[in-house]
Amino acid sequence: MKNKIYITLVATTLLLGATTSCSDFLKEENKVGQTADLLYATETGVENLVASCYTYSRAWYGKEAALGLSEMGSDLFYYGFDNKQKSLNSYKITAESLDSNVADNPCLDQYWEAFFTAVNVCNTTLEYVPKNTLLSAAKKTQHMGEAHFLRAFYYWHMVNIWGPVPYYKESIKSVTTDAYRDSEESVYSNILADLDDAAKELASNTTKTSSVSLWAVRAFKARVLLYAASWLGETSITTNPAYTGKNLYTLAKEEADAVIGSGIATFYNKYSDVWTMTNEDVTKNSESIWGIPYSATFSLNVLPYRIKTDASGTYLDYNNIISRTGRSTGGGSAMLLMFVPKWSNAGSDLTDVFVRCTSITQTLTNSVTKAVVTCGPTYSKYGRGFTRYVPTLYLVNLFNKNKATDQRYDATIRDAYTIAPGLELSSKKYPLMMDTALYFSSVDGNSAKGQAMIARANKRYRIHTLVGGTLPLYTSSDPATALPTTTMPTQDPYGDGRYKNVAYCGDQSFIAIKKFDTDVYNRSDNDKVTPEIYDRDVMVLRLAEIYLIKAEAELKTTGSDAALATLNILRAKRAIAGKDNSLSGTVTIETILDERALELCGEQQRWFDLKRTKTLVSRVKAYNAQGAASVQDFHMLRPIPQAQMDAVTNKTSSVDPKGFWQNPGY
Amino acid sequence: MLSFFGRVNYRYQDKYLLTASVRADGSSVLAKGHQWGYFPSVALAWRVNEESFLKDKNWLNNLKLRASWGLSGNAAVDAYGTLTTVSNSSTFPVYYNLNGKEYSGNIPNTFGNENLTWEKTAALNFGLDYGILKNRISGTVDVYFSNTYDLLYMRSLPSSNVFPQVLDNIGKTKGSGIELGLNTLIVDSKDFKWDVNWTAAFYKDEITSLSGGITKNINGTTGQIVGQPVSIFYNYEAEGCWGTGEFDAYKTAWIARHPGGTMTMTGDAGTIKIKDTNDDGKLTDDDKRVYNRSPKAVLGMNNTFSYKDFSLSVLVYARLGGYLSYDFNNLVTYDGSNWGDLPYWTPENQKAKFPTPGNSTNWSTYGSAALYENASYVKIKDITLSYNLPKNLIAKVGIGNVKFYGSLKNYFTFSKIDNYDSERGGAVTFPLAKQVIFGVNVEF
Repeated sequence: MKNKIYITLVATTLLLGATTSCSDFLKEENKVGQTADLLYATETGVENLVASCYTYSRAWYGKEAALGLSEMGSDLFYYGFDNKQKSLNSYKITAESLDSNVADNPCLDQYWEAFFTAVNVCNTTLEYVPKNTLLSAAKKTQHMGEAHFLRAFYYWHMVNIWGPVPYYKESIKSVTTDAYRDSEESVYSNILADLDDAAKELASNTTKTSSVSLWAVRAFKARVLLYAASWLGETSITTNPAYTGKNLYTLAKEEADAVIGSGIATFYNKYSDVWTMTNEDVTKNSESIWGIPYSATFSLNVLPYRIKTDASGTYLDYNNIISRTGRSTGGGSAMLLMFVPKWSNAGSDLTDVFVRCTSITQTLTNSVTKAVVTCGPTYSKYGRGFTRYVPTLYLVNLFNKNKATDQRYDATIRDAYTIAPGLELSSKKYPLMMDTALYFSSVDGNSAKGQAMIARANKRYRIHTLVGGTLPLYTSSDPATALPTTTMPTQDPYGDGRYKNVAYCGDQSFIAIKKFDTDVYNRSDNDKVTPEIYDRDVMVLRLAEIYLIKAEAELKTTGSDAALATLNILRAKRAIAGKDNSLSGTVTIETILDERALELCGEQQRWFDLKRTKTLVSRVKAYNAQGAASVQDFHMLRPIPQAQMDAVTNKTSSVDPKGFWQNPGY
Repeated sequence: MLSFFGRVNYRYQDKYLLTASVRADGSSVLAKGHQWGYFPSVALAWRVNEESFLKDKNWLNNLKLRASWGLSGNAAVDAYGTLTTVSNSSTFPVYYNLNGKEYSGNIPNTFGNENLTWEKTAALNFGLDYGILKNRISGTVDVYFSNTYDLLYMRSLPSSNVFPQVLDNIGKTKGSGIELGLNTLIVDSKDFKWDVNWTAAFYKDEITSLSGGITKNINGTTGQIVGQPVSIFYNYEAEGCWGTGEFDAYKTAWIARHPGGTMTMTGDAGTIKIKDTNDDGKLTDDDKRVYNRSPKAVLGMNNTFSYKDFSLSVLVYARLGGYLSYDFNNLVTYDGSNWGDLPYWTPENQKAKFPTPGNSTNWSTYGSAALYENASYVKIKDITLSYNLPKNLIAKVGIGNVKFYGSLKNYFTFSKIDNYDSERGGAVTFPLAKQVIFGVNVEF
């Protein structure tokens, strides 16, 4: 018998040089990421940080998902065939965090992240700019003003989307799993305090630039005051002593008057000049006060990654309803895709004269003469039939009501598509076609006039009529029940079954909003015809809105006559030369909302206007049959994303200042 | 990483064996003050058949009892996880254009955890090795219990706090299991051999607590819930589709049960039906359920028959219990045009799992609840028949060995999912191939 004892004692250091002391050896030095203290002490570091405060505005403006959250579920638009956020219009919106789902996603979860990240960048800026010793005093003051404005700007979105939200005055320095929702009054008080700081700090920045100017601050303050007055009440602000007991409408009018008097923006005589692509630059557009610039180099428009990572720690991207079209192709505004019907490809009846152009020099062959015709210049501006947004019957009727006197019909509405010169009489299906190939007429197709128009169109062009007739756009002439048609056309006027295709229905073939179109294809990355993104800047604050703010504030203070006079200044600017475009009679909030629809439709404000004036439910019931059955008062607040509800540890089932509650109804 | 390591081995009379070790590891990726972990272990074994009272029992070839306990550590995290940093402008650019000048900023994008420490697992194992009847029957039995502390995982945080996750020691788990192995040489004659290898493993685990007093750490449809298995999906329960008139009847009955209550659920015919588990008339997080992803049991059986120069082996494998997320179900987009030959809902097919196309937006909100399928399967993983040419025949022509064989790999799978090999785990890309192989092996 043997007893065996082995004892081994091994000390290993997985270290090449072995004489370092243990405590130093394990000290981790940051060799890859930069630390805030070092970077923001430099001049370029802090100026880049200031620019980053603006970046998150690009997640909202000109983006499909934000357009859905600000224009869908209102009285202006139905969802079209391929809309990616149908639940917003049908009010089947839930708290579910659908994250990267792009089939039907309100995207509130990703916007919740984006806005809080944006606020944190602003707060970081507000902390590091005063500490920076390299910037001039004037620059520091300006940057503080920009960050104050932008923090207010982001919180304005948040408080209007979700109601009470956590308000952060400082950047996040520790993690907690509790969160507290500050009251809307408190958030508005803070927003107004920030705007007052910004106005002081930017007092000498009075020219129009893409940075925030004094007049951007005051124009936005006019909007904020109007929102607070209409949503919370005209003397609702109590925690900001500068506003306690003050009538917010009166203050809104004062701000509006100051902006109008400043000359920062002036009206074009031709309304279409507001929208022509050559005037898209927000610093050059005469009616613009402030907006979001997009670079002609698309790779410089891509959104940042989210701060959220996957399980392996890789940063995630915003989904492509928000980012369109993803990191590899760059970023930009997607507005040019949103309102376009299937003009070239609803069916096959027009495919010999219409084609979606991918080049400005694209040609088509005349099927009769065999002549080669350049069609790019004519067709490129028609865009691509993404069928996202269909104007409601209410909106179409409103434009028609003003068509005879107001320039805004022609500059906003595309109801006819003409062929490229040289293709006359070449359509096989419509052999008498001369110029118009496709016409959306706002006539009742079953009326005598409608029947005459349909007869006139015979062999000349395809005609869709508002209701009735061969190809009705809407199911009813009553705006409360009208829907875009979706069932196969039943009439067969040519006996060849050419309209036996659901793409001729009103959710795919419809009247277009054309103010976001483009016909400029000679810029850096904007050299593609009918692209998915372009560099059109987004006007966030423009002069017409200031008049509308002023008119509404007057309506609520001095009364209808003053409001009418202000509205008529705008109406006169928008009048067709020689026509009387003025309004008369008593102005009500409905008058203001109608005027806002004519002027601002599609500009990412409508849902908020209806919400703050508490006309959301009544107007959806009256004008949007896709949402009428489901919309309820609780929908005036959007749901808090489920991911947030899952992660908070002080969740409560009802409104409680110490807890974190889901908005009722969700 | 800096480590110290010590070990003691002790053996007494070749019957009693003891191994004890301790190691100390310091890891720089962990937080200062939490970098060192100490990991002892001890293992005992008793070779019972060497004892005098069993030594002369011829039928017993091997009997060994084992017991071990050990603490092990895991710090497999990326470097710099404990440092708060700002974004890198090349990998995380933050662009903007102001007055014609392009900027690329750096923003705070990582939150460092100043308390990050080792994940530690204490494992206790009892084992038995045996062999009887000249090892014609032999096998192992292992029973184990493990407890993991300071589990390293991404903790989900409210994104109002900007950083939606932080790497953290999020909690404790426990696990236990039994593993059985059995070798049976059923027939062992000169010409015919039949050998069967059996394996069985049963396993159970559970999150026992989460730090900070929380009961759930959910990220999308995955995460951890106290009292639930470690690997789960967390989602609603889909119950097919609403039939014609079914929702109206459901709503009427609900209102009768809850006078004055408000129901916010909707249910057009042909849309996905989600179970309102708590019957409050709303679909909320409280209605979600846990889908355990881990199998309850994994079983295997490998038969080998050989008769003279023929040999046939059959490998049967079974995974029982658990759910997988079947990507195919995710291809069904409610407005997508190309659904293929799916049994979707129609008035004539009211029992369908999938909703009627183009009808409702509910699918994109709740459709993920219909992703989960029972992952159980039984498969004949491999059947191989081979024939070796008689050696005396081929030796004459100077060839060492010639083997003809044919095998079926992955050929027979029996699962709850139609036309899919569940071993793939849910993905529909790169499906597992069914293979039929014929071959000749020639050795010189």
